[in-house]
Amino acid sequence: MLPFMRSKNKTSMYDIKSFEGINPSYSRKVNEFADAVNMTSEAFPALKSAPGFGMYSQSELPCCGCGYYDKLYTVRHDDADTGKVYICTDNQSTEIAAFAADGEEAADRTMAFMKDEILIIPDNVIYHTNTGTARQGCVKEITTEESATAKFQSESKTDDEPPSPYNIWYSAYITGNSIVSMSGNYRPSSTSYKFYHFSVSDNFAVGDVITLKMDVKPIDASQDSAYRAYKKKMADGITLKIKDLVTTTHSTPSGTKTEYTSVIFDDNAVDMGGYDEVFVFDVTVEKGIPNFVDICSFENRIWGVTADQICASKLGDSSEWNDFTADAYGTLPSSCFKTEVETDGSFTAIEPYNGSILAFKEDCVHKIYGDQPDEYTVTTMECTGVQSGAAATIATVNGVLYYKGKDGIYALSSGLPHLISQKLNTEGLSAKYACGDDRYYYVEMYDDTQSYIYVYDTLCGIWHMQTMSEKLKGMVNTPDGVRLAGKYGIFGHDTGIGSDWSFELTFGTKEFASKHISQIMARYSLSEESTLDIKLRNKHGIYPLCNARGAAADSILRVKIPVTCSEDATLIFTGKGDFTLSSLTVNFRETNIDN
Amino acid sequence: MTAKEILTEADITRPNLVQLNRKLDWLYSIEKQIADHMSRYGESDAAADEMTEQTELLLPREHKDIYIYYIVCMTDLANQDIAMYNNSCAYFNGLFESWQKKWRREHLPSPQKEVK
Repeated sequence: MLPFMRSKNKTSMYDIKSFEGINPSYSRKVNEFADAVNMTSEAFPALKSAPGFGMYSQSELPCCGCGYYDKLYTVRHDDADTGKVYICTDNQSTEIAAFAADGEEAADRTMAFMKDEILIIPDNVIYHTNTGTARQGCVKEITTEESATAKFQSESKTDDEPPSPYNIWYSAYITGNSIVSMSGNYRPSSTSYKFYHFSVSDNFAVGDVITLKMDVKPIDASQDSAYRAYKKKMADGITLKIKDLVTTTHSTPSGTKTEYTSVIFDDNAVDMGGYDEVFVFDVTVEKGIPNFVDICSFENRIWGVTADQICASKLGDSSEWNDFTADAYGTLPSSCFKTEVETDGSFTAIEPYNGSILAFKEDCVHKIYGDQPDEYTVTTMECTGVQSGAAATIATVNGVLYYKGKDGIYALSSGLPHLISQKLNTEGLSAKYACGDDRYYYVEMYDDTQSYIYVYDTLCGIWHMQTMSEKLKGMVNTPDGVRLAGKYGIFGHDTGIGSDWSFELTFGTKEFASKHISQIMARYSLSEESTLDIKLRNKHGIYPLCNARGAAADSILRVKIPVTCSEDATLIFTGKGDFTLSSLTVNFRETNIDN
Repeated sequence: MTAKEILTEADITRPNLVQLNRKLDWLYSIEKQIADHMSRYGESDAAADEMTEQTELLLPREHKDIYIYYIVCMTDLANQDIAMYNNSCAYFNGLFESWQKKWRREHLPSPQKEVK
């Protein structure tokens, strides 16, 4: 038989029934914790271990960007010195660009999705999702004497020079509404053939707005200032819209050939400089997409920012950025849009939000609203914008826009953006990628050695942190959950046993005024195969308190743990697998003893 | 039923940081009490002189809670958790008392022993 006992200890209790996320700063409440790894607020107010990120798929090609539109697209490059770049889905891989082996193929890619087109920068490639084909958005074709000679040698299969009708070698001549190829006859055998010096490829189409640069040679022109001004203007380039392309079919020694030998523009669109007859050589025909820093899709247009301009593509055409022509009523419902702003600095990002476009610089945000280009209005907010290089950290969760500014993570809803990462110790960390699902904002932060995923719970307003085994190349939200693009693999939330997790709860001097911690009681659940280890750290050292292993799924244990008296204490929780801490009760014994 | 089985179930019932040797000492103590009671009322095996994890205990499996809750009681006492100790103690005392009564009913006192 054992005797009953009476205790005369005077104790008080401190109950923690709500855990309010990671806060590694010195100013910390008792229910906030530090050094959290792989914890989540999914069970808030309880504290739960996060499932961690596991690999979903692997690829042999290194990833350099990702995006989602009906399916997950990744941009990958061949690291075997081929310089080729591919856009990949689960079952298809299409080459979209080829670079010289100068490292550009590994540059970060950004995608903007519009209907069945994906614009990919900095390659300026347009990928058609319905056909699985890609085409260059920037086309530049140059006709010089050398290129025409090569063309002639290819066509005629001889090493001869191309036939020229004049002593001076010309490519073409211009009229008020066209540029027309010069041609000449040649006779390698008994048959006479015709050779056209200038032609454009089928990369150009009717409706394209092109820039035409050429060296003009007006006939019988005097060398006056008007002549020099005209030559300079045409050498700098004129912008024209293709009205028609004239095809010519002719025979060559290697067979019949059809090519565009004349390009037709609107009447009087081509400046003749007041001369009757103008021949041209060294002709450059180009159409292009500006060098964007960031792009996005909004209201059937692709929007982009260069260092100093905000641009919008033609309505429904992601390849056209230079068509500013008005319709029959003098309005611009479908034309492109381009504007500059008066603020200093370079644009860093662009994103649609709440029915308008936000163009970010580091120290301000420009808002563009309106229905069509001639109605677009730009307003300016002087506030912290997106940090340079952090365009991909923008994500909208529950109607609030989150992004990485110069000094932390900002949230923008109505009014000015406000800093939400005061509690995070992000000094020295950079951020590049982020995404959001229906509750959480995930942002990758990294230093020289390690990459971290900081997770912001937009419902509770608290932060957690999850580990990531490698530096990311992109993050995207899909209907199946968040996907993280590593160099050779796509990661998602793991459904397995889970990762190692840990966190620390600190009790400060406020709780210890004339008291000493005597016991803690943790109410927790630990699933099968999971482990829990609790230690106490005080000024004297680290003491193990409890070591538990889950006996069965969803079991709940109440454990009272004796703790050596201490005037300050940090509880260190570590473990592996599924763990939920529902509450923590700390008993204090009031005493006059100082140790 | 071995001492190790008892200690494992006691650890699950009341997770603790008590050293194994100390728990084996407690188990030895209750085993001695049980053996003493048995020897007064009928023939029985003597308790082992030394308690190890492999030691076979005297009571059959249906009375294992006596051992377990003795360990739990002593753990609570070592933890200075008096409220929990008293609760565990009440349960242990009930179990132990009912076993003692049962044993007395089923076993005649040994002739050479003085019944107290």
